[in-house]
Amino acid sequence: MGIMKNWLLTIFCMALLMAGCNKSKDVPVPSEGPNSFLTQTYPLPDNSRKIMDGIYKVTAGNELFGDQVVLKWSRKKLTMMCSDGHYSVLDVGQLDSVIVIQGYWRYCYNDNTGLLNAYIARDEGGSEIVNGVTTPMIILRGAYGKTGNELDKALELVYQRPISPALLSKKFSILAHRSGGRTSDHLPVSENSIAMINFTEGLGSTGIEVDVQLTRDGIPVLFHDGDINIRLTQKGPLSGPIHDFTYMQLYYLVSLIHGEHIPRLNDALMFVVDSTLITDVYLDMKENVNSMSTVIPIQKEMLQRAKDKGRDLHIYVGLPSQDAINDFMNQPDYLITPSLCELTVDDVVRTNSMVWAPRWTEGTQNDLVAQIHTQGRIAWTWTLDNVEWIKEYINDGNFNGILTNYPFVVGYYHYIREK
Amino acid sequence: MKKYSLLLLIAFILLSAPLLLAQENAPPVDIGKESMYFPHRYQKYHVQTGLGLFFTKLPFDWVESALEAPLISLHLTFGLPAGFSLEGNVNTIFVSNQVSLGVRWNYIYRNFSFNLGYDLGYSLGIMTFAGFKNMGMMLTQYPNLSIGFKTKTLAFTVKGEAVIIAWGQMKTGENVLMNNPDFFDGVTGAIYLEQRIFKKKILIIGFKDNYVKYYWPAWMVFTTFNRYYHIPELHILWVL
Repeated sequence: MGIMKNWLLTIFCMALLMAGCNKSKDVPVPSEGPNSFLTQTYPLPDNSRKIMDGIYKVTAGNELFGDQVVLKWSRKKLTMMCSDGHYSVLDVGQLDSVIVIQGYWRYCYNDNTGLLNAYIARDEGGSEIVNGVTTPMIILRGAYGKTGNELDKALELVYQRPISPALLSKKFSILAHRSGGRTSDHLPVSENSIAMINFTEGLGSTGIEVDVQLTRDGIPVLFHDGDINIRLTQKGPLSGPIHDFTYMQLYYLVSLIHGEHIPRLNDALMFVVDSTLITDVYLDMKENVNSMSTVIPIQKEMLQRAKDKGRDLHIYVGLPSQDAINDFMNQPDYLITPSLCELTVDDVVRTNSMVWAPRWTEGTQNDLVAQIHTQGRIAWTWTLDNVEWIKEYINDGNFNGILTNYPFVVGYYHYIREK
Repeated sequence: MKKYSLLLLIAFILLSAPLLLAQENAPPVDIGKESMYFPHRYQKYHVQTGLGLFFTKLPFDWVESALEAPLISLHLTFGLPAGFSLEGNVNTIFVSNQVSLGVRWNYIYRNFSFNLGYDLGYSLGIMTFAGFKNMGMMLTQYPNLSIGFKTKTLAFTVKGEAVIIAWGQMKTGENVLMNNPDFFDGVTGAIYLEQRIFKKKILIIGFKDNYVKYYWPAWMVFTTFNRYYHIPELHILWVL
């Protein structure tokens, strides 16, 4: 009997132990560290960066990155976008007309990652890039590693062509879900945080979707789940619905999974306006009723702030349900308030929403998208993460933007288009 | 969901009580012959049935909230000559179901025993979500190995298996998300304790760790992840 009790106890303890270990793991970001050679270089001038944007042939490193990649500059990072979900986030500097590139690669569908270093020699495009002169001859030579901080595999990228000017002349929004990616994507910053908004452009996004809900004292904050839980936050004294707590309680007693505070909508939008080049923000209104009267004034204030700074920024209030539409239409100036409607085209017209955003599973719906376009509106679809479907929606659909957890995949298939 | 799981567990134990009491006067059983997971030579053409529940906890990455889903589990063995046996399993949570059938070859050495087996499982899930009918089917191969040790009243079994997806399809509405996949899905490791509780009734408690990419009870969430997760299962069955 004693033996039996011991075995039972052991099994139950192991079961409890495993059940308690259900937490996302962190994926460390490979880095050269503080002694990186990049610290000895100078920043690349803005007019030099655009010269590097383009489609490159992979002549070494195909086994990981495929035969072709897109290089695209964002506000402060160079992003390498691949066809299958691999990507690189890179820092760039120049020294004596040599372009130095350092960063890491990552595969979005699992946790594979490694270092990536490269350079562009003076006579292989470096000199022209530094001087802001367009050149068809750019060769990146370098190495990447698959484990730890190794750099043992050759990488060579040869410039093929620029991103089509016709394509760039038409706006296409690459919108990052939850301000950049989900907790489950094991990124180094938390979803719906200001840190993620700062991070997301490096993934290739040009816009963000954020989840908005109200605290007990009526402050709109960014948070996806209905309640505080260990999926999104570090263990702490609070649990229960967000709307049960005041903002100050959340600020002092809750830390997001990577240690950030839950941001107020006001602070997040101010960061977008003042510190990023993001052009679209989709406010995904969660289940609070009567939240429009609180959120719309913040939206207006931030749109005015962007206008004052000469920023081309659009902030749309999301209308995901009839309740949200009713709340929205109770606002005195709803017809001139920029909004995004997820329901039918008729609802879009009724609410005068600028954006129609159907779920991707409803298909490309090219006829309805065309109808929306004739009304002077735009259409986005959400949330598209599968490579094959992203490819199909970009090639066969006519949406003006795609919401995704993987902006670099959408970016790859968008930027390789001719028009 | 936690309350639902707890209620099911309590109901399972309470409903089991009359069954156990009725066995008070029955002759004792030989744990080495009446157990279900412990590898042994079954009586020829003898059918043995186990019924119970298994509880699982899915990764946060998939379900974005703590989910503990209890499944109903029916386990059958059928004795064949020359140390062989057939094994069948039916597991269901209504929106996710799996039927599997396998063959074992069993070998005994004193208090130790082992078996080699191969199971083929067919899982089917149907669920309407966000206005769309979602469906997932998968055919899975499970080559497996079990090693057992028994005492007078206790049978202890360690089982390992490989999980290989042989075929499948997943659809949401008319969109085919995955068609005819063919990949190595991972491995599982399990320990089972089989104990004669009353004179003729055996309780099985098992703990299984699935280290897999695709997990059939959670078929709906398998779309954009390609990484391995540890998914624990707690099994509680009575041998009927």
